[in-house]
Amino acid sequence: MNDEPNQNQRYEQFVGFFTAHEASLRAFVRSMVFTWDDVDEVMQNVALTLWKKFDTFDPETPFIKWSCVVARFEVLAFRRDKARDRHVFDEDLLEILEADAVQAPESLSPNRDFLDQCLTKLPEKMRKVLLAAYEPGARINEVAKVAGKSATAFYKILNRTRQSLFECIQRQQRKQEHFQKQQA
Amino acid sequence: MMTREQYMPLFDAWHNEQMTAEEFDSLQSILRADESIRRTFLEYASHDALLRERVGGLSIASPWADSEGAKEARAPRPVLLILGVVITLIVGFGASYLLRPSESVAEKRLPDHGESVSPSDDSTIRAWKKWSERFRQDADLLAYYTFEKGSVEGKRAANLALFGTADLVISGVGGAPGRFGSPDDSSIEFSARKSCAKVSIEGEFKSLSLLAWVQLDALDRRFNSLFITDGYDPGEVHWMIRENGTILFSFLREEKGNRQNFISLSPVVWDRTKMREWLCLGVALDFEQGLIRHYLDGEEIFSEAIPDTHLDVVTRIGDAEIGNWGNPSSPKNREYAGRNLNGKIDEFAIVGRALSKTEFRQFYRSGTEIGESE
Repeated sequence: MNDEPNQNQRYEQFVGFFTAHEASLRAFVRSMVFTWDDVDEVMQNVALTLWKKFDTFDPETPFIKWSCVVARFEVLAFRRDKARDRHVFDEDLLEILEADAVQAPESLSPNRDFLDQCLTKLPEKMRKVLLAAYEPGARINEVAKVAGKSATAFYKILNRTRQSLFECIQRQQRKQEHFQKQQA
Repeated sequence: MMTREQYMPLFDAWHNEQMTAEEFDSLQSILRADESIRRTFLEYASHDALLRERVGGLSIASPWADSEGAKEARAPRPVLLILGVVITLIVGFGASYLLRPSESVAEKRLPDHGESVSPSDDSTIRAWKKWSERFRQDADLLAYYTFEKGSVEGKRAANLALFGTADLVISGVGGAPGRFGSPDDSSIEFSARKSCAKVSIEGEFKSLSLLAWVQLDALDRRFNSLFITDGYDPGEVHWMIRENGTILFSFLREEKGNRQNFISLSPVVWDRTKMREWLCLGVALDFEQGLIRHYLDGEEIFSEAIPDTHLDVVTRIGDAEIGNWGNPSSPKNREYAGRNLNGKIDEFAIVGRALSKTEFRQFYRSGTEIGESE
């Protein structure tokens, strides 16, 4: 009789945890899996498995720690099932990455405001190149091919743009950390 | 220790989803070996994920969605449609880029004060314009300032490099005639101590080239700045003319707190007889060939080997100034710190690779009649 509300509560609790950590988990999977298509696929499996196993989750332990373990195993399963020929790191390296991610979860959750601030600092043409390359389904190599002679240039531009954006975000984060340290 | 220069191309390859088996193996070894690089890798992955999310790529199926919904959520969008968008973007950039030069030479600001130089004819300016349009598209061009009308607004001189980000922030500089000597041509003049032109360029570069069209009134200082990074930190470059008319190019290396400066001096490029002349100066810090090469008017005037000890340096710019030293490392030593240029600069370019001899020649010839035939 009381099963239904309990189930609902559990469900809400799971959604709460999952949405809070989804971005970090995706980032973690991205660090282990080579393409965004594969990341999307792995993440679906991760989400399903987390929900299926949510009974075994101990609320005393951090959700990110538990979910990173699940994510690593899903990456291994993905490689076993479908992607032997794709770039997936060796098992020992996946374990090391997981340990790093669990130890420093902040490296997986950058500030969205910083991204927005840094994106607006980019000149419009660079921002367009970057965002076009990140469109789901966009094949960068195809995009480069379409660009014809400037294929190498396209990559260089994309790399430089991404690097300056990421450096900008990192700088903002360091500034914030510095500020927080001073406050403390 | 692995340098950023070594692992960044692997990170790029990973994020571009373009990676050879060898690159993949190298990435694995690097990540296994170095915790701080792994941390950076995780950070980059998270920025990557954030960007993807920002573009609308959050296509994960909720675990509570039905299987049909899940399939739909992960179905990739039609590639052709995306390619269409990208093609439009690329064509669009071309168009916006092509629009800019139309206001360039013809609408260049009239100088405040004329000088008696023989104006170049239209064909020279056309040749320069044609060349300059191509030059702006170079993917390694970090900054390119021509100071033409429309590119200078208030205190900002626009960076005309198609993919450059850094505008030049100028103050205390005057408008002056440019090297073509025609009424529509202009440059900027550094005269007083307050003149400054600040730029900030992020990133690290294995090689670097600097180019400038310069007309000097005098060499007042012991060191007269062409381009000097703020302070003088490892990997940073300083490019100056000494009071004896030689070019000094230097960069700094640091190992275990021990700083080693490397200075390269060219032969004399200027004396008082050249007061009214425009000089086309250039320098390449060429780590691929292990050389520093100096150029005057498109010709290599001197080159020397970078010592083996300095070959591991990765160059940086950060905050820097043209024609001044904004943030001297020893501000109290006036003779050493004061490096204001006394003269004019017409064009200035910063390139994130070592330009070839031919490219230096083309930069020079772009402003001469010969340019048109190239």
